[in-house]
Amino acid sequence: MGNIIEVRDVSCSFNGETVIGDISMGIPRGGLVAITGTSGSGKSTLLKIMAGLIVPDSGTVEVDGELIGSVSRNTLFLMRRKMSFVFQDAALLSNLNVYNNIALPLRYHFGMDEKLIENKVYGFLQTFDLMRVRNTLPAHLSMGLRKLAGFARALVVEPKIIFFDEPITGIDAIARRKVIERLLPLKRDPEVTIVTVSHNLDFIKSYADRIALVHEQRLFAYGTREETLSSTDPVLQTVLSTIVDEESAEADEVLGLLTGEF
Amino acid sequence: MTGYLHNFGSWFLGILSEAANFCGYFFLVLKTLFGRKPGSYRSGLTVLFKQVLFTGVDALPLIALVSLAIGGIAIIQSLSILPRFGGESFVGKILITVIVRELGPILTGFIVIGRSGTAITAEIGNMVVSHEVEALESMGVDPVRYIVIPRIFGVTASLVSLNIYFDICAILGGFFVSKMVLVTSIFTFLRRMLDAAQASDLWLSLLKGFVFGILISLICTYRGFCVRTSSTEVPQMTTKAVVDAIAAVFIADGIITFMYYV
Repeated sequence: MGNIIEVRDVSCSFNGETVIGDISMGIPRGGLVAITGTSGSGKSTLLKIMAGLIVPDSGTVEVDGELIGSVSRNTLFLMRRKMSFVFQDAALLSNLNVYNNIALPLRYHFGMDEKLIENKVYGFLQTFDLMRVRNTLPAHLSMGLRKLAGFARALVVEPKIIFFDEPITGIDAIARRKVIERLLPLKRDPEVTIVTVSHNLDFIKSYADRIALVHEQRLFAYGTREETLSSTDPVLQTVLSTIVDEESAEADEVLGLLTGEF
Repeated sequence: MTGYLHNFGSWFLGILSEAANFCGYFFLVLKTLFGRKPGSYRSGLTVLFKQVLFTGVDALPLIALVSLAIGGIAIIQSLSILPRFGGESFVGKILITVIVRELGPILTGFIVIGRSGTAITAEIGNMVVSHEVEALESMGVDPVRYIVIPRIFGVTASLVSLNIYFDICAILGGFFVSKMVLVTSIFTFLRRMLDAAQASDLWLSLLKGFVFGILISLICTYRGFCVRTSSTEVPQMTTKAVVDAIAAVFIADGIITFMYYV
């Protein structure tokens, strides 16, 4: 089986500054690929290029056999029925409550009957422990709940490719555990491919099947988890040691003070 | 001298560039409206309904206030001059000519720009900044179909209806003043109005309302999408939207009036 995503010689710049420089990599079908690196190395930009949200200055991205940059707008929107993107800040629609945010892709793409939509959305609300906030607007939710709602919205269309930008950054250990619990069954599904950006090394070491290390806007290393983490390359080890998830550490510290647990 | 030429050239090229971008946006909207696209329009119906409520229904008190005042003022001004020339019988004609043909559509347009146009630009601008538009694209939901088209329909339908409402209230305002000054009965007043009015006046008023509605909604949605990354751009684009929309309303009014009567 070939790669489900093929990135070839992709470069991207904003306002004259290079964000991504000449990156090539293939994402195999199934499993979890983690893209990591220091802040500002271009990880999120690379993820958005793979998802077709940013058009690179050069190079090509092929998703499930289709060149994303060449297809029509119609075809791209149809392809997106099989893909989902979870943003770092969830990017929920601010004028819709949690229920309607999750229901939106079902109403738009499948024109389902409202009763069927209700059954499906309620199932996801229960799975993600969001039933009590289903009528709440995103502005009144914590970051952890917003991330869970964004995750639920992404999964409701049963995608084959999930792009996840910083799944556990900036949330406390309890919310993090919930996200990971929902992520693990998908990771085990051979039909589902997860590409995630994270600078939480514990998360990457525990769950990634392949690791891509982006450093100074280039692909510094790419291989299986075992290959990458057991590499004795001193430069690679130095770069890995500089990656710190500060936001999650801060969230844990606050939670620890409150609960005395962590 | 070369400095002035350079500045003028930059300014002129900037105008051309903006015009080209707007034309591109206009054609994208047309293509989305009339082209075959995947996805259901159902999710946009809620947006349309809310837009009609906000632009149309919520504006009724303000429109009533302005139009009653304008109708009264027009009669007062007419009665202060016309009797000197034996022209009391022209009061109805003046009211129809000034209000139904010109002031009604223009003032209604200004009120819609001030209330709804600014809100639309600010809302879309904030959606861009908070990645909500990007989230829609990532879900395969066409932002033009979901955000823009319902607003165009909502604003245009509201403006045409508000225009008719403005004319009715203005005539009522004129009647109240006439009754105070001339001791006119409602039947006499209405007969004078109907004698002065022609079907073409009403059609012209409706046509202007229709054209203004489309221009205002297109310009204000376009300016919303012109916001790039920072929330400080939102008020800047809102101001530009108001200026552009007012200019467009005047230019369109001039063109339609010229074509109709010359």
